[in-house]
Amino acid sequence: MVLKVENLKKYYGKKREIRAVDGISFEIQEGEIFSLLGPNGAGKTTTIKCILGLRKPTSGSIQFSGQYGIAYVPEGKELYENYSVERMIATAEELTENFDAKRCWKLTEEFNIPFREKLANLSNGEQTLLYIALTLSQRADLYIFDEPTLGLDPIARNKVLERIRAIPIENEGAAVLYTSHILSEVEKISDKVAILCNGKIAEMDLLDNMKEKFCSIVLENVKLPDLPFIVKYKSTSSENVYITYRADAERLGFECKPASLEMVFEAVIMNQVENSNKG
Amino acid sequence: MRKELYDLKVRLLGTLIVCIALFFIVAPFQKLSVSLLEGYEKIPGTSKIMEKLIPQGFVENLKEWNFYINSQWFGKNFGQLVPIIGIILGFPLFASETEKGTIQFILARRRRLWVFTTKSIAGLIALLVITAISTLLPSFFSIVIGKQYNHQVIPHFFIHTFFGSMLWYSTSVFFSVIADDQVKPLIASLGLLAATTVLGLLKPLKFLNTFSYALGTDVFRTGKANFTLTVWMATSSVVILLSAMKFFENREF
Repeated sequence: MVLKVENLKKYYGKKREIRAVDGISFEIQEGEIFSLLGPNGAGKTTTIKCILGLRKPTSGSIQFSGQYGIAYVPEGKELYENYSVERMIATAEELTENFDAKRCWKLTEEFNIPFREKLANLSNGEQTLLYIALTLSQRADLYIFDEPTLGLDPIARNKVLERIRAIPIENEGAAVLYTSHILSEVEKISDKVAILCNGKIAEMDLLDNMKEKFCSIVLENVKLPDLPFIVKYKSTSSENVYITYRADAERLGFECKPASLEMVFEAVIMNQVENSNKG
Repeated sequence: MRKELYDLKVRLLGTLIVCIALFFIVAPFQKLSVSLLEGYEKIPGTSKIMEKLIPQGFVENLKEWNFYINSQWFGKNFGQLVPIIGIILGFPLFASETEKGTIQFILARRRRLWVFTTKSIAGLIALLVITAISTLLPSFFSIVIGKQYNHQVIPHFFIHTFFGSMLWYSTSVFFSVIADDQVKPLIASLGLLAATTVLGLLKPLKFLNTFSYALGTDVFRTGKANFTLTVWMATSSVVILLSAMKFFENREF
């Protein structure tokens, strides 16, 4: 196990009324790519910042075990804009233990980043790629990527995803904690997925299990069957598509169609929001 | 440390250039200053005002090189800049990284104690360089132009200028640690400097006026640094820096 988060809580406000993270627990194993999904304000970045020690948890525990530490690409990808790419790499080398400058130069070349240019003159996408190159050149036990492909073109995005997917192979035992709003990306690279909503984990499982656990059913405008989980995904004039647990749907004899991660994600979030509104 | 010194490079060189330029506006013009003051004394109507503003015998004293350079450099031009130099070097140290979001880049790689120590020491090195060079200027200049100068006072003036600026450096570092942008620590430090100076004009609060220490009044009067005040200045600076460190260690980003 690389990381174990147990009953993590992070509350804000004088009376601690804002519950950014509300008792979440998960584990990341060696070689695993773990994706944390959730709508804006779900608590993904706060969880990551607690893991990194940038925020102090209200309660709960975070256990990290590894000899190399954690590498991190934040959501903002803020680097020193007055530095040249060359200086930025030299600075990263100075500040980072187990940093492979040669690998960084290779990645910079691969990502077509002009190394004599000042960072302020680079596009947002190039700055993001440079941040990713700096992080991938660090030997770590856990690589955390918070929305790493934001602002990247499809070709660059695929290159980055390939690189992230290769982390556990290239760095033996290393794991990845990944967050993104682009669910097709998550589907491409993740082993395990947790869906976070209102600071709580609403669903967590291996990606294949999660997709297997849910299915879509089509109902004509009839009364809804009594199921523990049923969420309307879309509707047309004649029929409605619902997401439900496959086991329940099969038990009641419905025709089950596979649900994509995007469908599952939307359904889980909608169900969670409905439940919290009822509560 | 290389990164921190690189980040400080522009401020260090800029401040140093300002100090050196200021010195060459003051030092070569002894005769001009004296003749100007003497000229004012001769203008009918201004002599009475001059008597009120300038102590008796001051113009005569200015004709003596030691008195002129020490009073005009340490006691006036550079002396007044001493606390401001400390503030200039200290205020962006942490606030700039917090404002730009780059603090995450460092904190994801290094321990907070390391980050705080490295940044603070780099700032102190820059402060040491500026105060040392600026303090040595009268000595070098006197040698170059062949004037008789009492070089023994230089280490004493250096103690006053260094610790005088260190106090304000520590104060602005503290504000820099607690702020989210660069404007707040600058305004807070300058505001506190102005407030303590004004309050220090009141006799019971005289101790608040750090300028009398920074200008090296005691060195000027006795030829030696004020040991007790220096210990106070150094202790206060260290306490403020330690408080800043404590705050930085617990701060959320």
